[in-house]
Amino acid sequence: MTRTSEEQPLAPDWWLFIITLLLLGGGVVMVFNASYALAAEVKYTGGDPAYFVKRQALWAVIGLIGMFAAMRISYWKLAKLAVPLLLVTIALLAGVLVMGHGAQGAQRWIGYGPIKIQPSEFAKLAVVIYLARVLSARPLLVQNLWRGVVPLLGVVILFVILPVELQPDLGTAVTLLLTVLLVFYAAGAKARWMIGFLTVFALAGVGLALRHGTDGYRWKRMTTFVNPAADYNGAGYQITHSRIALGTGGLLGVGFGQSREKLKGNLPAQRTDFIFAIVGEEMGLVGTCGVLFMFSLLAARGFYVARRTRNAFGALLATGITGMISVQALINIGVVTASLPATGVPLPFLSYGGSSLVPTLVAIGILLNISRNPSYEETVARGHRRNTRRLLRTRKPSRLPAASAAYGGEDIARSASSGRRRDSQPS
Amino acid sequence: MSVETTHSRYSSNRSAAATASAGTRRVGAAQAPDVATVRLPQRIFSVFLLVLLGYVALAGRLAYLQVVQHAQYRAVAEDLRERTRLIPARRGVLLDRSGALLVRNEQAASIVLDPNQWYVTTVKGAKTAPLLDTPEMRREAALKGLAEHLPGVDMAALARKLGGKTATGKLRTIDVRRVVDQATADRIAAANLPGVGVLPTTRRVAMNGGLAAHLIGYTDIDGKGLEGLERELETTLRGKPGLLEAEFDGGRRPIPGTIRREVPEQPGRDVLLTLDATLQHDVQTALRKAYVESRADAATAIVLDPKTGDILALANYPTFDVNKRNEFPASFRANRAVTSPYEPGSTLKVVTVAAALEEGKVTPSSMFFCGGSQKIGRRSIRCAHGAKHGSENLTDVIRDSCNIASAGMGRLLGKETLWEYERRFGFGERTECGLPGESRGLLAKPERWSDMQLANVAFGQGISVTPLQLAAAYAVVANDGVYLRPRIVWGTRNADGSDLRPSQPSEARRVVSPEVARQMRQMLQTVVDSGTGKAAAPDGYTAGGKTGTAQVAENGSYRSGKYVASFIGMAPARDPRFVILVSVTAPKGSYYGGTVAGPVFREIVEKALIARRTPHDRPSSSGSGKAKTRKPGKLKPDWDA
Ligand SMILES: [Zn+2]
Repeated sequence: MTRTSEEQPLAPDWWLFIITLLLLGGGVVMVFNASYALAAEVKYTGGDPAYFVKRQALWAVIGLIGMFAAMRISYWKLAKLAVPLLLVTIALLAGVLVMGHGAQGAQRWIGYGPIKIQPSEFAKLAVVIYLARVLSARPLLVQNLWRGVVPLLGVVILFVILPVELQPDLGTAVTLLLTVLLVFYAAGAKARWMIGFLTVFALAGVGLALRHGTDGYRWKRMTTFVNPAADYNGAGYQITHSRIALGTGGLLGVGFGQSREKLKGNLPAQRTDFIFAIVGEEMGLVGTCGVLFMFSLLAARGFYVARRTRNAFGALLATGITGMISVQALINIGVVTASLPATGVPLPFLSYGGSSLVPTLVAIGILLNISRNPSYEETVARGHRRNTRRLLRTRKPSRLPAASAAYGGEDIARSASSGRRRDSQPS
Repeated sequence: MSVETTHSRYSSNRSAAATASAGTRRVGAAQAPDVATVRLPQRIFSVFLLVLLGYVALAGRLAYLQVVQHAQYRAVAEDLRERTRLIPARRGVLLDRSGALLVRNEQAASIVLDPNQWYVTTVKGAKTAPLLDTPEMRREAALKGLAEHLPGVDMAALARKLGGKTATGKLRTIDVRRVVDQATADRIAAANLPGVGVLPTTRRVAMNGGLAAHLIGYTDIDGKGLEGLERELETTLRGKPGLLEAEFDGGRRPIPGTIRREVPEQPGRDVLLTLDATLQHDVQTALRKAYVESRADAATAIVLDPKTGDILALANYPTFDVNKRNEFPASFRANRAVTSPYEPGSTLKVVTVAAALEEGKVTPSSMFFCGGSQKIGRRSIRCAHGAKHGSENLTDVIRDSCNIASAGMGRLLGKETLWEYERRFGFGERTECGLPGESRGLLAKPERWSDMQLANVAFGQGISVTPLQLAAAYAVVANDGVYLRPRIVWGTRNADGSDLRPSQPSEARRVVSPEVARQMRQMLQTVVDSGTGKAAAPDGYTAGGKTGTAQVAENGSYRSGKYVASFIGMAPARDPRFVILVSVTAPKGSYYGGTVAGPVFREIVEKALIARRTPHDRPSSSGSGKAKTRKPGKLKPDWDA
């Protein structure tokens, strides 16, 4: 181990890269498979069967460019951008809320003409970066419930999650909330607090849903996954057809391209939020478990990158990104399998739509960059070294050399010269 | 510095540290947290395990849905989309003997309402009415639009039907109206009402709804024959619907590659009738005039081709319009010509006389004596209107319609023989002409006849026959003594005109010898030339026939005032091409067959003969001015002996 890695970061994590490409490629194929029949039939596509897949492929290319760019930009630069990014996000979300409430009810876009962005998708990333920065800078914050966790959570909920929920975009709001709780927990917050928060939010959600009684739209939507037939034409429609798609798939599926539910008049979100149901119909349990396996691999690799990163910001950022993608996948598949109330979360990599795909790929790019610099360490201000040391007292001195060895001997060399490194960091 | 950080497993971001507020640091210091519990790598591993647990749970859920519940969901799916669709076969049409269309299939539409459509969020770009954002508004718009375009629809009943659900919770599609005309369908389609579907179908339309309505009959809304030939010829006309077993997509089209079974439909065969549409029209015109002028209860006319048994025309009044049948009372739809037997009276004497001739009991020169009345047992029979015919020959008996002489001939024949002849002339059995609802009439077994009944039957009472049976019996005389079953179906052919199959000719049955038939025709001509049937004499043609003025038996007694005035004749007399029956039930005013039914016969037969380009067999009034004032009785019949 003679390499002085401060000039030369490691190669990105190949596993992560390959898993991402497999999911992305499979996703584009699935979008085409699930959408061509519909695209050939509806008017606004002009009868072009490849209408959706062309766009998805374009988004994939843009996303990959974003991913490579993020992979090459040193992630610690994001720490400095954390607060401005969050402020911009909050401003955009406020903008959506102010401009949005026109005739349609749900407004998630902001922009003009063809340039539209969906701030809620970027909000997830901004919040994860912000939390990683704050929690790594002040590791003791998560130790205190009322003076640390509650205020921080309150800020995130009030300025980000609530505006997202009000769009209304319940799916992103729930994804955000769960990701935030995961990051808090990873940073050291007590598990019972997180469980407590979850309970409170769940009760609050039920309470809000019941505001208009059991006949209200929200309550119906929330409970319909138990008995979709009760509200077939309302919230139950997607769930009924989604279960039919999965159920008919069986063990091996009806065969690739043979889905019936993807045809017009059956499962309407066959290319977006419910694409997983089409996977299940065409490829059966083998296909769905294959997708689950790929997401599990992605999580395993993402959390592995987080674990081995010897930098609290990087570790929390990697945890947040991996957690965010995993939570999204869990919620989506949970909804598709009628295990969770319908929320409207796209399945990362597979669902049609650039507003979800591009930020996800950028996040993977950040994760890849973190994987390139597992032991990066900045010159730490004296005042904080103390905190850091406290944090690191968890490691028994006797185990430290072994652990260091496990991460590679060059760590020590890198750390020793890290003072210089800030200026010579290649990008 | 670097040595210290060497021990750091984790480092904080410097800039982050710089912005950290003093307050927070105080918190950390004041709390003196149990930092020993903070173990980032372990926590990350815990988070990973949590996520993994989620995936494993979902895998379990998927295994349950996709393996345990597989059969159940496949059944639901098949229920939703796999179905057998019947492809309706084209119903054969009815044509007259020259190929003129009588009934056809008109392009129409059926209107259905699929309430599920109200809940479908409109796809981007598919712009509908902008103000229909909610299912309630769409429901409102659909019902309002339907009420506007289909005034007859019971909207309350429709609204009640809207709630029905299938097992999956899907709302049932309901039929709003099975058949509407194309113009209405186009208007509804243009209105683009939410959930309202306009499906192509056909409806049965008679070219002229009033023409031969009793023969043609009608179908129900599904095109199944209910009355008339539509009912009788159901199996021929119906064809065989095709079958398509496949999965159908949302647009209700079969999904390619899923078609399991496809049986092409077999179109029904067209039926050519023996009917002559032009003649039918003339018959109806003539009959209607008599029916209206005499203010009769009913009237019937039949035209037969004696050489073939073909029913060339058949009309009843009151009648109805096939296309607007619901606007008429049900009693108007009865085809009295085959369903309503009546006591024929004098017209039946022809059978008695022919039988007596054939059996050799009498000859054309036999003489009879009529004293006006005659005792049979304790009751007596008499001639009509108290007439005493005195000494008369056979021709006189027919011409003057003598009851006494007819009864005498009946006695000569005996019960068995007379019954046998009645049967051979076609009475007491259905003609099997191909029209539904036919009556056998009433002809008691000879063993049960009294002497009185024998006498009655001989002059047309105590027996009831349908007008068609009677016409067929006269056709025996016209057809040189051979009975042919009347028939209405000339033949069938495929929709494209191929495979023309004429219907089987009925077996001929000799009833009397040609000579007896000729003698009968000769006698019948004297009725027209100089007897009760003078008003029936056609211009330019010879004709033979017999009048009948029978009392209507009601509840077993002859109530005075109600008669059936009838005339049955044939022309030209020597070699008849037409046998025509006209009967008018309960005419007001004159009720004699000759005066009420005779002119109708004349009008019909003239038109029929001219239409067939039949050469005149005696001077026509249009040929010589003198003939206009001719007295038919004065003209010598032109028989070649
Ligand atoms: Zn007499």
